[in-house]
Amino acid sequence: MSGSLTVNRPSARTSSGLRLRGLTWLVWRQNRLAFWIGIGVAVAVAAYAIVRHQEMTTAIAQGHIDACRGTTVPAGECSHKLNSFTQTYQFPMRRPLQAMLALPLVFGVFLGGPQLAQEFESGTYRTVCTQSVTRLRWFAAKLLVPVVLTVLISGTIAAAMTWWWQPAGSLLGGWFPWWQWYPYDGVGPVVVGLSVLSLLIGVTAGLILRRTVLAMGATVVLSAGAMYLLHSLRGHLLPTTLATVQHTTDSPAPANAWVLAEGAVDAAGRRVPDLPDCYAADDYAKCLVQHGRTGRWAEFHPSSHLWPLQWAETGLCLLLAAALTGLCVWWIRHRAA
Amino acid sequence: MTNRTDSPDALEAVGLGRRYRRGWALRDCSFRLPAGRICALVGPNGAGKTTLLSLAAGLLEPSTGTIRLGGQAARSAEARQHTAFLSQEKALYTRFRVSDTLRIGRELNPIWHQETAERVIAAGNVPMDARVGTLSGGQRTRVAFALALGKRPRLLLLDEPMADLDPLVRRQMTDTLMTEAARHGSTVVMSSHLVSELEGACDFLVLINNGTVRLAGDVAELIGAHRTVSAPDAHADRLAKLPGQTTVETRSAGGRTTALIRPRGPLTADVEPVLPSLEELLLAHLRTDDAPPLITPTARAGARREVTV
Repeated sequence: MSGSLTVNRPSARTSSGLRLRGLTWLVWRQNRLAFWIGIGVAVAVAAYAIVRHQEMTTAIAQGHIDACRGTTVPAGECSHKLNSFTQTYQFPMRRPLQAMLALPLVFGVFLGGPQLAQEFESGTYRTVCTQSVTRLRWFAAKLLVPVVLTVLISGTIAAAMTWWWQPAGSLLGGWFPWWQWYPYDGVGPVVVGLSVLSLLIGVTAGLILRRTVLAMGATVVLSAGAMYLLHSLRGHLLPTTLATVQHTTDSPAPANAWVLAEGAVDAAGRRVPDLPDCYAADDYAKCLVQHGRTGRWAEFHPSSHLWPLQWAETGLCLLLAAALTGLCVWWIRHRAA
Repeated sequence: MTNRTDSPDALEAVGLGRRYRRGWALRDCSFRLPAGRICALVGPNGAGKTTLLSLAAGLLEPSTGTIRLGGQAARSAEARQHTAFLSQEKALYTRFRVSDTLRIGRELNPIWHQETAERVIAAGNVPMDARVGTLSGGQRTRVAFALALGKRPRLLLLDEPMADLDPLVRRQMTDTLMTEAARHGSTVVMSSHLVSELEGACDFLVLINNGTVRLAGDVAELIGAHRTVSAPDAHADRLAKLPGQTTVETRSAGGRTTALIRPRGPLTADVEPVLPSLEELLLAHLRTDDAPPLITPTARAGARREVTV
């Protein structure tokens, strides 16, 4: 019988190329359909975005629209050019950018929620955890492999959407504000951050609830809630810029800025409430000055804050994801049976 | 029995207990199982059999006491490598092919015997490229057995493995199991509430009820420690007052009263003591709660240490 004895030496076999081994193989094998769909979608989106980006930059160059960058006057030749550019190129990217809001939920619900819940529900975790692996190592693989794939897939899609959005965003400026929920939630690192956070919410819900459908439902609710909270928090993650200008009724914020708050100031620079009564006055500006409103103040994020804000929010997402990982490890060590 | 320190017991529980939120599932459980035995773990549903096996498999942590397999803590890497566990539901990934399922064993165990696993599969004519979800209950059990036996475990823990099989497949699987266990000298612990499937296959017995061990020991020793005595109902009081004996259970059927006793001294001649069958022994202990536990010297935890001191 000694002839049939096989002693596995993983280290000796890893040299034979890219073959997956051990728990990594198992988790890949379990999720491979989802992974291949995700990779396929990411590649398709990337290819599409490259084509659309190319089309757009060609159109900008050929129509000499570049000269109209930063135009705010809603009339004239530039306005006409930007309008038709918007209709041809910006309209078609609206729905995809809006749909990006759902991407993190997809990772959480379809990859995160069932990841552990299905194992507990069917009892298969007993089969795996009575091989020569500890529960903690099993959990590490069940978490890390989906996290890596989530980062790769959502990262590729986010990069593609950013590539697609970028020429339109920079050309249209305030006409297609960067700080609105689209494009903001559809481009940049925050897509990856939200996806990883949602995945972790799904995994944690699965571990605690141990029922697949329940975990998936809880993931929708909790991830959407977390995204809503982050959405309301996002403007306060970095210090805003404050500007005060006298002798004007216009906002002191630059054209494509995300204005969080603004109002009137008196001659001494103190903030005073706006005067709705003056809207009806013949000379609006004069009415304001007569009532001591000589200038305006504004707190805002200039458009240069887009990526710093995105990275800050991504960092917060990853911090929350790390906290959930800690909760999972504690739960597995002390509670799960 | 005096010098066995070099071959530690396949399983030794000392003061082992496990509490859930609802209460104790297993309490103060102490016994040992020498290596190479085929042990039946018997008890009614909810007695604590699954809890005991899960503790041995390292799936649960004890609330009190210790459980050691081959001298190693049940949750140690060493114990994991040499122990296989087959849960009640025999859960496998239904979308995996049979070959993928065996690969789980190959990938997750440092020691794996592919040929052993494949032999078990081949004996049931299960196609290697079939998806587990498409297999019949018996075939699926066979795949689960292959995954467990491919580890060529020193200790094989089976939680009611045959419960959902028809008698023919049950016979086949028992034969496969016994053949492989004998071939590699594995110790087997098999839980069941079917008394009949254990008779003949097992040479060791652990009976638990309400979370405590009621009987533990070599089957022959346990049977030898009991006697069935009977008398006509009219003289039933004679059985009730056997001097110095422990009466496990008394019951009356067909005009005769039968008692299962543990003799502690000479019996009066008129009660005609006979050795009980395994089934009689088990049923009597399952029906009563108040008989004192009996752990034979072979199964007594810590007995070995007392001897060697």
